[in-house]
Amino acid sequence: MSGAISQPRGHRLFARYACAPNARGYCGPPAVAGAGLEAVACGHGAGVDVPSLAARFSGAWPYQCLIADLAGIADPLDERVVRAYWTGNALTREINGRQLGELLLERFASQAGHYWSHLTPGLLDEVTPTHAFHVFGVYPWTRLLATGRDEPLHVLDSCRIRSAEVLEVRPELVLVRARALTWDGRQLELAEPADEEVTWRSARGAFTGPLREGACVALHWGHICDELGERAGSELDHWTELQIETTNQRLDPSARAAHGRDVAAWLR
Amino acid sequence: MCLGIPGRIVRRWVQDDGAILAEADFAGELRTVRLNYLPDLQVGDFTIVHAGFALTKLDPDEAARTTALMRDVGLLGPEGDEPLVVPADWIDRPAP
Repeated sequence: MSGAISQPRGHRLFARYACAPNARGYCGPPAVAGAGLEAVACGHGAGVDVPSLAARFSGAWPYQCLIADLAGIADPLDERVVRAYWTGNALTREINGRQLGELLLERFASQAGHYWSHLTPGLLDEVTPTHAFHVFGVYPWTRLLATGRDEPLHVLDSCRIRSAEVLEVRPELVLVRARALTWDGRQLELAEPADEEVTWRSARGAFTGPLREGACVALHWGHICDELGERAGSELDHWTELQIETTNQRLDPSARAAHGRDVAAWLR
Repeated sequence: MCLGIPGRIVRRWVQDDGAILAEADFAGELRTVRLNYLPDLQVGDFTIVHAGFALTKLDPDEAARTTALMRDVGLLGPEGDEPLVVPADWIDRPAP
């Protein structure tokens, strides 16, 4: 029997994106509970209480709650809401980033002290209602790029959701072509596409169906977590590039002039 | 462990390659963390960790406040709450 419909689609989609960082112990509930997310991501786990697990993700959950509220959708794990946050979609475009940022400040940041210490009024110009904003704006790592150490760029590139093209499906790994994040000392950019091997299967299976060459997939912490259609892939690229552009305006104020437009004003 | 939960360092050591590691207690869950950015952290200190790296040092009062606030907003269960455990038979239960 297939387990592909064992959970609502939004629950499985959330599990696909949340699983990789949870498995590394970076966010969400303890691993013993997180194993349930992996099962759901693979299409099993019919009895796993995904909403309870999702509420332990200090990054994703507040955004999904607010996106749902602002969109008039009751369920923060509605597939449209989950997609809006992780990769972007039509709903993402309907959400006012600054309004969402103000609500984050009001409901979460002010309550939790060090929880989101970098989310301040000064960051509101940088808000897009996406995971990309959380990674580039709220996480501390862009502020550590100037240390010259390797970890900040690695964490930023791994934690953001990346789009990739499948080139070759191998027994254990998949060869993909993707654009890596780069830092030139002043600004973040996406490099030209390059080939790399990424993981696909875990002990419980794969998060996607069989992959074909040419497919557009999403990567999270070096793992293929989702297969994106062409449109979803374009949305992900759009929101990623927009976030990098807005974040660069904080990291390097001269970027604002160089790009010839105020992205924050455009977002509003 | 989720982003932002203060962890109390219970053990620290230096690897052969020079990396400074520690074991920290995050509201009852022990995790290994890297101290590359805060190498002066000692046993008993509180820290906030991200992606496996200790990035912020907290004093005990700040740590207690932050943990309490995270419980208030539902990101941690109540103090003394049973760990969130998913039974194995739930995980592998097939679709009805």
